[in-house]
Amino acid sequence: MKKIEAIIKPFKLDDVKEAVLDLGVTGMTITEVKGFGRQKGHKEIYRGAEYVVDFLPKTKIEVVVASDMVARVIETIKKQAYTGEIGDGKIFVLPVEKAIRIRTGEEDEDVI
Amino acid sequence: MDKLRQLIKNFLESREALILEHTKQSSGFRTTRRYTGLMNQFIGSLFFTAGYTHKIREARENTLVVVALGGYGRRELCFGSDVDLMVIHQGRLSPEMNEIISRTLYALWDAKLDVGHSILTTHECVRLAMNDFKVLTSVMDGHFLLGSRPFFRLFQVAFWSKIEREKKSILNQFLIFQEKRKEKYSSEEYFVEPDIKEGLGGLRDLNFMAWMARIYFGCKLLNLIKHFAVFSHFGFDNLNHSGNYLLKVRNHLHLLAGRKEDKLLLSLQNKLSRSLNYVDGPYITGTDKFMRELYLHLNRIRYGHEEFLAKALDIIAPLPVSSEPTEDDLPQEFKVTKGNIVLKGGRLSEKEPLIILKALCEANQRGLFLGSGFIWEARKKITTEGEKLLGTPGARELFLEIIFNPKNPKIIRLALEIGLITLFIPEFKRIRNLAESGYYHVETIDLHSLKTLEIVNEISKGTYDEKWPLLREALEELENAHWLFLAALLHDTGKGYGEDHSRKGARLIPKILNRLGIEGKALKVIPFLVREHLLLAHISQRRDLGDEKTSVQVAQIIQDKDLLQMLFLLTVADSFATGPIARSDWRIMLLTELFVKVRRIIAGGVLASPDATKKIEANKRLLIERLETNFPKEEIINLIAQLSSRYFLNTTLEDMAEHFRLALTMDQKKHLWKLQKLTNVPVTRVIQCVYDKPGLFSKMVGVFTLNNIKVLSANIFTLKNGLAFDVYDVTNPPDPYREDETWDKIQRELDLAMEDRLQLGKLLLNKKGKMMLYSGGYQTPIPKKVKINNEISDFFTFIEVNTGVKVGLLYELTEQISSMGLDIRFAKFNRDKEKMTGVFYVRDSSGQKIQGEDELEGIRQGILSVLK
Repeated sequence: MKKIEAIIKPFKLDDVKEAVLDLGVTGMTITEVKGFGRQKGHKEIYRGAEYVVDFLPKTKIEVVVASDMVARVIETIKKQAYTGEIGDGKIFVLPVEKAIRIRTGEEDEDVI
Repeated sequence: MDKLRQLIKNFLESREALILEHTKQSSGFRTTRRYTGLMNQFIGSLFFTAGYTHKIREARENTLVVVALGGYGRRELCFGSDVDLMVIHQGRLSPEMNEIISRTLYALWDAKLDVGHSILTTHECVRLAMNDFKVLTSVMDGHFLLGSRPFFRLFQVAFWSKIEREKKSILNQFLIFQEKRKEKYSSEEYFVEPDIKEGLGGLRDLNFMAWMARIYFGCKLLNLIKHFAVFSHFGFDNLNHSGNYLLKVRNHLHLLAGRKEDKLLLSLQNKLSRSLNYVDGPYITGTDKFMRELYLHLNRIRYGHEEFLAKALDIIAPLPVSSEPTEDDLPQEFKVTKGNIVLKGGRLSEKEPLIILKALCEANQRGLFLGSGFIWEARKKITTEGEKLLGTPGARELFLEIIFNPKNPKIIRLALEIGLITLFIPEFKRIRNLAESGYYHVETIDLHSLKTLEIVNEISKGTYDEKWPLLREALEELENAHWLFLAALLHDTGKGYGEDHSRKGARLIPKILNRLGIEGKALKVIPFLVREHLLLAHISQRRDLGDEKTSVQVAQIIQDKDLLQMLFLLTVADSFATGPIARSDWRIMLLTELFVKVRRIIAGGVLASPDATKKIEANKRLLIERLETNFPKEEIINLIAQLSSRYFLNTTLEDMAEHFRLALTMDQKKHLWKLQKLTNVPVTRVIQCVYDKPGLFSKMVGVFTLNNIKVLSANIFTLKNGLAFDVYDVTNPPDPYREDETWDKIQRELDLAMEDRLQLGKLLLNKKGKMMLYSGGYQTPIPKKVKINNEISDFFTFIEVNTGVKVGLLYELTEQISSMGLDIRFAKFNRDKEKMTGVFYVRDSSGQKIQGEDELEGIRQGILSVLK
């Protein structure tokens, strides 16, 4: 099992969500987040001096999937969240040690 | 609680029994209907066990209904499908009722079903449906599960009367929805792994027709639309049959994948074809048979749906009448109604079969289509009176008139569908619905052939003038352009025989042409075009085009200017029609370059190489003229003396001037380069001057790969003073916002690599390891081949490597080649999603070709060892 975290442009959320669900992924968690990457948010020269670092609104998607689905989920997010502009976002993949459904106590692959 | 458990257990057992039955003998609709029935029962009993028995009265009074939605509502529930439920109610739901609903839902979840649910009032539901297209269509398909029937009827009245009022805006939503689908699913990726639900020709197209029939024609069942004259002869039975097949495949797919999977993944295609009982034949594998049948159904639904939509729109939203062309010059037996040619009087069955061809010809000329009844009867007539039509004088001529002038792609496709093309060209049957595996084609071979024909026509219309003006010029110079049209239609007829399709095709052609009454020179030209239709593509992608011998060899094969132009146009049209990989700008650019060079040789009249010495001298002179204002003439001449004559033959004047400028300003630097972005293609040309080193090329390749840049071709020339002049064509850096940074980094890493201070092998291995982690998916086995040839070039041994794509492979290959003491002087690479072809022009350390069988075999084995 892996957890895939994707930080994307908020207006791409619907496209990504739909495409990921189409793959048969059953659930996901969405958070509104703020942050910046290599471009340091808005790059603005202020009176010829340093630029102002600004946090930009982004959406974070988290899904946990079986390992054999990882490649397809990544491909799909990449395709859907792509605009080619700066700030399209990033995808992180993390190992998941254990998953438990609270209501039933089921574990691991049964949970996702 | 235990009762609920027992119900789940019972349900799962009945489901298993149904699955078992389904795998033994399966019909799509029957299985989904039975599964829907089972689900209805299950959900019903869950409700009752959860306490609904005591609440029936409340439900009736409070007016509550549970509705099955979407695919479940349509009774097309597959084994992995979502179970979508909606509770519609009026007034407040009592806490007890809420409890009953949640307990039922929990039980459904516990049965591992993907449940979708919503609890809404009539008003909320209607409003939601009008705002969300998916909700709208899934409620349209809803069926009653339990609750108050009178209330359900009331709800339906409200829902459908709202639809009736919003018809117009819904139509727009329909069209946008279909347009988006088409955009998404027409890529090559979905051709190789078709999505049988949402993809082109998938079940969604059938749903879509049913929705339109319901809203705009008031038909509760799609078949009932036959009562409307325009659809009276529409092939609904065939469509139904295809829908049944797709549902069957979908059920199998869900079971094999163990989830709601509608995309026919490569990794599942073999298994699926076996579970559907397809067996390998002598020419074609079981999997190919399965894909072929699947594509028969997908194509049928796809184009059936297209025709349906056109006809339906004619009625729902007809175009203004003024766009109807005048019928004055139309032959008297026809008339035009709503953009369709139909008979003026009488029935087609009573007429001569030739009239079918006449109608098609007229429709092709005028950009019209044929009436539905006409098509239906024509199809029948061609099956029963085909022989008679073939024998009718004038029939062949009319057929060829359509092929030579394919103005209306829809009519050509219709000709294929009603069996006209296979009547005149029975050889075409073999490629009907034949799907090639691999990420290359986006359509089945028959449709690809029609598409090629269409593109030749587009070239003549000037569609590609802006980017590739040479195409139309070449076409207009042709004496017998119509031969090209025939070649375009027939170029792949040799496929499906399990042997080299170009040769097989060329052998089939004379018979076809004879039958079509074509005589004379065409009998030589068309088979030649078919046999050689891959020649220019192969040579341009796999040879050093700078080497005069490459073009001379091609010229010797083709010999004639007209023939060359036709072959060039056929190759381009074939590439355009194949898919995005084949028609990449880079490939078309290479093709054009080769074409122009070969044409010059053929036009020169002599099939020998022109006087090379003169060309070299001229190039040297021009070079001096260009540079002497900035640099001392003596230094230029000195540098010229260091270079081999091959350099002056193979390099453009611009690149040479750049090399010289770099070399003359190099001072103490180890290497200098100039980057040029090519126009029209996403490619950067790296013109470099560097101190030569063994393995220079593999180091370059390694550093490029490390930075996610792909090498397309490379040309390396060594000078006697130890310098090397290189020209690399590489893909642009992946991040257009950081190109400069990337190039700086590459330059730094290259410096390190040259001094052997960068562990390229290790870094690439690391990168490869990381990529492998997530490439997890299925990979088609690609045969690995190494060909070595000493004839292709006068100065070098030629090595061609075919293999699958792997990260860092190019570096390993070039490393291996140079570790065997070989010097790579030219290389070219070609990749698609899975395959890679690389060619290398090499020589040994003494500057000679490699001779001797044993040595050559040793090299072959050495390279193969890397591929494993």
